[in-house]
Amino acid sequence: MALPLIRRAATALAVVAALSVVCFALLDAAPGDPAASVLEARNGGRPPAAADVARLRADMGLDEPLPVRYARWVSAAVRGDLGTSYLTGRPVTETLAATAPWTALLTAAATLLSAAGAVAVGLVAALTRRAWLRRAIDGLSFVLGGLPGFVAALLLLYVFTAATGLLPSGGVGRPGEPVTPYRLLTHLVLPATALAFGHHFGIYVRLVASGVGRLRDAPHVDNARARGLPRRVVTTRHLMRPGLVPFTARLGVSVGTLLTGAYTTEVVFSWPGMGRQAIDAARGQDYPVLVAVVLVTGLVVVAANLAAELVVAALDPRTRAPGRPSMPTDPHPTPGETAHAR
Amino acid sequence: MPSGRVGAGMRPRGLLAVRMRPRRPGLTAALVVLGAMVALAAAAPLLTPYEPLATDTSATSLPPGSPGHPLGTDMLGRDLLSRMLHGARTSLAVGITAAAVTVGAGTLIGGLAAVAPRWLDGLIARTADVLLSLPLLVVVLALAAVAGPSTRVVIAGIAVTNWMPVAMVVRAELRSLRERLYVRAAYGLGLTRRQVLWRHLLPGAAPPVAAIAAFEVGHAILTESTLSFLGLGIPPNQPSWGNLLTEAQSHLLTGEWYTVAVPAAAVIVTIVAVNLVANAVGGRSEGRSW
Amino acid sequence: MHRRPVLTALAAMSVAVVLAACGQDGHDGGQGGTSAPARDGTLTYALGDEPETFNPGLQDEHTDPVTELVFRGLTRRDADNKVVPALAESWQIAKDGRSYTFRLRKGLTWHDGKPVTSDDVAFTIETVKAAGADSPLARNFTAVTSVTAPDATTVRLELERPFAPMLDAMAMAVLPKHVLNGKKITDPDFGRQPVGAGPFRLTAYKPGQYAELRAFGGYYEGAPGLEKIIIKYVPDDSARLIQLANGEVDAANLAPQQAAKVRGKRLEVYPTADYRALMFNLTNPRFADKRVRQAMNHAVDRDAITESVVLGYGTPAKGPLDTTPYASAPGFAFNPARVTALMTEAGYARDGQGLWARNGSTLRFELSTFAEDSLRVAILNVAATQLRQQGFDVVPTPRPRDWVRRHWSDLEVFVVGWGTPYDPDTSVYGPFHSSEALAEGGSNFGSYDNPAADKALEDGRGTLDPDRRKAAYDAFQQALQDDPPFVWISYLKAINAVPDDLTGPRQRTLGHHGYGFFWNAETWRYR
Repeated sequence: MALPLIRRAATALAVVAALSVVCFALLDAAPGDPAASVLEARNGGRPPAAADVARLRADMGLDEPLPVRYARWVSAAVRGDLGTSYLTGRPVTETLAATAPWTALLTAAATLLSAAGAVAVGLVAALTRRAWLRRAIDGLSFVLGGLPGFVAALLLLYVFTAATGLLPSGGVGRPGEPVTPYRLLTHLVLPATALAFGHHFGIYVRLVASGVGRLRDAPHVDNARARGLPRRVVTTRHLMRPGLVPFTARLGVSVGTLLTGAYTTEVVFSWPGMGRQAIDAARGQDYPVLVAVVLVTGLVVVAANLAAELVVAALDPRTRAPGRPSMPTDPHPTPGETAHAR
Repeated sequence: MPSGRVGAGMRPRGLLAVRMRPRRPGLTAALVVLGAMVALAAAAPLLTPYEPLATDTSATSLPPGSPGHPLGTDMLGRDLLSRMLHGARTSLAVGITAAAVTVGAGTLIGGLAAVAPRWLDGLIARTADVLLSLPLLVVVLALAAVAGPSTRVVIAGIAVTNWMPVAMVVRAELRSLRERLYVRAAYGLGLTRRQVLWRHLLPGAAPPVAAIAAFEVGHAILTESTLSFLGLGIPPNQPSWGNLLTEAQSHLLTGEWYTVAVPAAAVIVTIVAVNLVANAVGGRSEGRSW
Repeated sequence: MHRRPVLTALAAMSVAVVLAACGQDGHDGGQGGTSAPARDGTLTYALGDEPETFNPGLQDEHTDPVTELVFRGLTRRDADNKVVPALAESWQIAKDGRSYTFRLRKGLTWHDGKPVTSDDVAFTIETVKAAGADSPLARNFTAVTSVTAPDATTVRLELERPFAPMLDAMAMAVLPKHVLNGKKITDPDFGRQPVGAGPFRLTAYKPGQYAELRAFGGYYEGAPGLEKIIIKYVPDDSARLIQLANGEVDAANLAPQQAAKVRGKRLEVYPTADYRALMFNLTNPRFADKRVRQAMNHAVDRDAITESVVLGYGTPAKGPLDTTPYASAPGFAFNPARVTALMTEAGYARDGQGLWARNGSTLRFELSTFAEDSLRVAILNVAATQLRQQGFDVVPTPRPRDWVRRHWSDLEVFVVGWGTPYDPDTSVYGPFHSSEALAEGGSNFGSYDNPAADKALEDGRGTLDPDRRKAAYDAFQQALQDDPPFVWISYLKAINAVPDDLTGPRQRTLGHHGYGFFWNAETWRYR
């Protein structure tokens, strides 16, 4: 298992390198002058004088050739220096360190909630003999499939805060007071729920239901039942473990979906994560911040894919044999799933 | 106790059945809904006397069912029905165009990869790998920063981040078909590569691609609404369902709830219908059923 | 291999993140605190706009609440926006208006305990003047030839010519020399951890979340009545209303359609000097004829716009100085007959679609504004409909802010916002004097060029005699009436909801964005 892992990791690194080139080149080729944007932001929206722009361009190192700028950026990035925000003049790493953990928390909570929910509901769908229940789950997963994430978020916001006042409407706590785990939880519930039960939830349910359902009547399961193994053991070891393989592979792939879904959720719930930062950066041509967010998101997605492959390998004994393809299922996501914004 | 099993010879029902074979009533309903949406969008100017942008300061915030304004008006007195119908034009056009561009690009690239030398095939695969690790929102953020938010950016963003599955399917289908006897026979009969590609290879890859194309339409509509919500999608004065939702969300609490409910319902119903159709088109293709 | 690696891995990951996030936040969350709504002298106020910096040297005269509470200038403005003493207890102005001597109060201290001296004042003026384009306020000091500090409490300014807004300009915050010396004025650290001499000091700032201010005991008028003011940044209109209703905040800045939904709070509705208008790009030959611009001024129904777009929380605009003591603009009435008369006079006739046309082409133009600003977009759409009804071929097209930045000179007609309640010169010289045209790097974005207006503006800033100033601004407003640079639309009102038992907020004409609501916050307290 070690060798294929190293190979996968090397591929992942290559992808990351390509990612950085693409991001940097793309953003660097952008029209509009960042120096002008900075001056204008400081100047209350008035267009700045050409001489001031030229001076700032030189200060910011924008006049050097592209390869030089890229090389400097990479060498600094490796040392943890992602540059200075054009808009706030603060180190990008500093702002990212303040926002990224919140996005990570929200994404992780939603992933957990989504996965637990999908496994539970999917198992019910696969194993129940009540046709109406299967149909209800079927219908639910279809409707959720058509629900834009921000609409779900607005609905939850309306029901649980505006109409009933049961939960706080946003942020991560009361300003100026310490964030206690309990209070954090009350603030986390709504955004995590909105993110967890959106568009992709139906896909998860289906993957669980079809993965497990396909095995329900498989010979090895019948065999296990015939041997008199307890139902619990049959379900967990012989149905769930292999049956969840496609779902797990997909879970890794859709971390990117959830991560960017979190951006929208963050906007609705005033969650202090990377999302709002990324959107402001895109609007204000704050390239250092934008490149950093793109890079971090890409890194997380690559890491999540890698992790999913490891988990799949652990779940499915076939993939452990050396020389076999490391993925039992198509690792590439289906359309509508790739990495869409919700 | 054995769970409610379906015998080996029986057709599975419920969730499993949808995956394999559509329930007909659902499909019919979905097709009717989609047909109606397209017809309404196409006939929008005939169905309403109001311009979608025309304000009327003497008829602001009318509730649904008001005379002359079946769906009511917004805070500036714009007719909601007219805005919904014109919004449907934008949203459906974006959905269909984005799906067409995505599938077109995917088919081309997949076809190229299937016949290309090893290095090019590899390059395409690696490019796909890089793009797979870039979520759509991030790509659109970058594109919007470069080019400014526009309909074209939305379509380009969707295409750039979604051609890969199409390309994979096309490439895999072409590769497997290439070795089939009838394809070899076609070459043997003296057909050129191009003729074989058009007459024998591409038609073979059509069914799975059609399923992806159908899903892509729904996905693109969803994406349009989200991007417009974030201010990165359709330019604000062009009615689209996403833009209607964006403008309306600040009125969710101030009485004009219907300005949110109507476009939200339209988005959900359309996507569910599109997905039902796509599911039926996709038929039994395993794992790609969604 | 673990039994259930999936769930275990997920659980471990999320626990780790929760711990990391809590730990990360725990350090700077402030001390103590209970979970009950804090009413122990704390006011939490929700606001939409968050500034890039709290450095007053980088803002214009309309400062955000945090900057306003942290800093003080030599002068300040009272409830009528008249200049009164602040850090300076008195001043003398030479007869020729070219020399100012300010005497500072004794015992002034910065938030870090250092004394405020005349050196700080001299440093501030020199730094801002030298900052040029980096500081919007530099324009106030171009006439200053020297700043001297003969002793610790005396500052003397020498001017090359009289500059009437000088006393008002001195309301600009004094900056601490000991913190900024040797640094650029754009120093980002100072913008986040400002040190001032105002009634409140900034004790915590979480970008994108909130700023926490605590009462400063060393303030020259004594400690303020509130112990703590928290400015919470909530960009979404709906979210502000929800948080106000839920008790997550005590006070909030509200949008017009929300005012009627507020329960259990007191509404403070103040006029502002912040107006909206449609600016013509006068480099475009289609707008050269002033009769066309006059006709368009008669074509909009300002009352209808004010009633619909801001639900009556506004006042129809007549000119740029309506909310100042200099107001004298006659304004334009909605009058379709005048539109027809003026357009016909200008050589236009209605075509088959009822649109004004000349030489076979309609008067077609794009009306745009910042797409991100929903109020301006609403004004744009209503104005476009009204103008179209009067035969103008308007194409309403909101544009992203970023696009506008790159295309100022390509705009045709644009929804602008200007206005100040302070010295009139501040908000009219830049936008209307021909020397400030866009091509010259100024803020006259429409390139308006009217010799009569230019002369009046120069007179207005060049004399200290109140009657002559009044006459100059009367002439200026008449010049704009004759040759309109804008289609005047509406002044906005600022709506703020505050707790019923909060005393102290007092009506004043506020500035841009409704900034200035906290102008006397040091006197606020709970009953």
